[in-house]
Amino acid sequence: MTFIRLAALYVLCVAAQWWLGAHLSPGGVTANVLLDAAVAVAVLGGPVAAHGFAFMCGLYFDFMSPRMFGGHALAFTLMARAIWFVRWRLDFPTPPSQMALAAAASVFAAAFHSLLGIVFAGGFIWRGWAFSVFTPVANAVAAPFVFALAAVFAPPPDKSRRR
Amino acid sequence: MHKEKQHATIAAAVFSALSLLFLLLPSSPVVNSAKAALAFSLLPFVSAGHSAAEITAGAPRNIAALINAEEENRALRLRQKDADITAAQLEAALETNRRLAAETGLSASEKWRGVWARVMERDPAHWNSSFLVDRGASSGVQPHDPVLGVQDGRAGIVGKVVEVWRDSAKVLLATDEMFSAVCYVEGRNWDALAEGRGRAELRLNYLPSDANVEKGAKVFTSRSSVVFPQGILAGTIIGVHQAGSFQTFTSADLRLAVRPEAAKEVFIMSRNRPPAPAEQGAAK
Repeated sequence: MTFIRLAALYVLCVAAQWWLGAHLSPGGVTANVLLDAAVAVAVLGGPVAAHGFAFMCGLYFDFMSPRMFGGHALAFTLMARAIWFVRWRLDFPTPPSQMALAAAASVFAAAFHSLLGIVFAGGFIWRGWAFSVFTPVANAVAAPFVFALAAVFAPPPDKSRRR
Repeated sequence: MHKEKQHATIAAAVFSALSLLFLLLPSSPVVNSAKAALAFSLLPFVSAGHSAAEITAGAPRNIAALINAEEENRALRLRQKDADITAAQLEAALETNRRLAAETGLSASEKWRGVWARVMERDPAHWNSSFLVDRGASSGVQPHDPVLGVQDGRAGIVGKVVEVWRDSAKVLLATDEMFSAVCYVEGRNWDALAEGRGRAELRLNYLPSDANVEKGAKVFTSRSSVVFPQGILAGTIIGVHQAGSFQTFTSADLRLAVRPEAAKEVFIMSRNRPPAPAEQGAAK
């Protein structure tokens, strides 16, 4: 059941990402809905769901630009790993904290993917200042909405086990 | 709690290992192929809105070739539609021509009928002389049938059939010394004889001595030609030799519109000629 709900969330986020990329990307900058969803599931979901969903979200970006196939998947998986471990120490239900987390996660994922380029693509992958500065902001703005959506699809965390 | 952490560690390790495996393996061509195939087959609006080059960027050559073939096919279908419209216009023009010819008592132009044939053998010893094609008597090919080729979108003479077997025929090329065809220069009334010389250019002989022929003028087959119907492009004049004390007529060098050595496929026209007297006698 969890798998089906996560699959539905994934399809929805992919569709949203596609639509945003096609219609709402001023200057090539667009909100990374899939990254926000990966962050949300890492906060809300179980261990396998958190990492598997992040992996699949990364794989979408790898599929769209397969120059370094697997790079985004690895960056997203490690990002989910980090979030999953700190989620009990922070208070994520409020939108400001969700926005801060999404911004930090997008900086981490982008930086890690760029650094992977040194090993696998022969050089640091630099996407420009506009992308590097405004994408985390866009992700932060979209984060509360994606968290709300993820809360509908992903199973809520067991609070008794969080403390 | 401890078990959940263990699961998280295992999940992270598995998915990270999988990602690294993708990174290490040469997976980009496979992914590009899958992406191109998906964009092309599952999302036809994507393939219609983008050029094949955009869809196949990074895809292996065989996948790119498949998708390029589809784009070419689309373009050819459009050209086919244009050709159908042109053919309909030509048919109407031919009908008018037939009607006017009937009223004035002139013979009307024939409709071009025939078969396409592939060049299957060239004789190195007679390169400018002849070649064999893969159509013969079984396809209705007869001796003296005109042979045309297409180059740069225009049809032009290539030669004529001289020998016919069941499934093949020998074509005497326009460049052969034995070849000749009555032609006229565009915009002039007089006929001249285009003769092969065993090399790439033909000689257009028997032009009137006062013929003011210029380089670049187009030459077409004349109605007086025994082999060719009127109006088929023969070639372009590339040099003029004026009549002098030892030559009573003007001649010109003619470059063929369709180079026989470049022809891979040719159109063998079948003309409804009246049977020769000997054939009529045999029929009786």
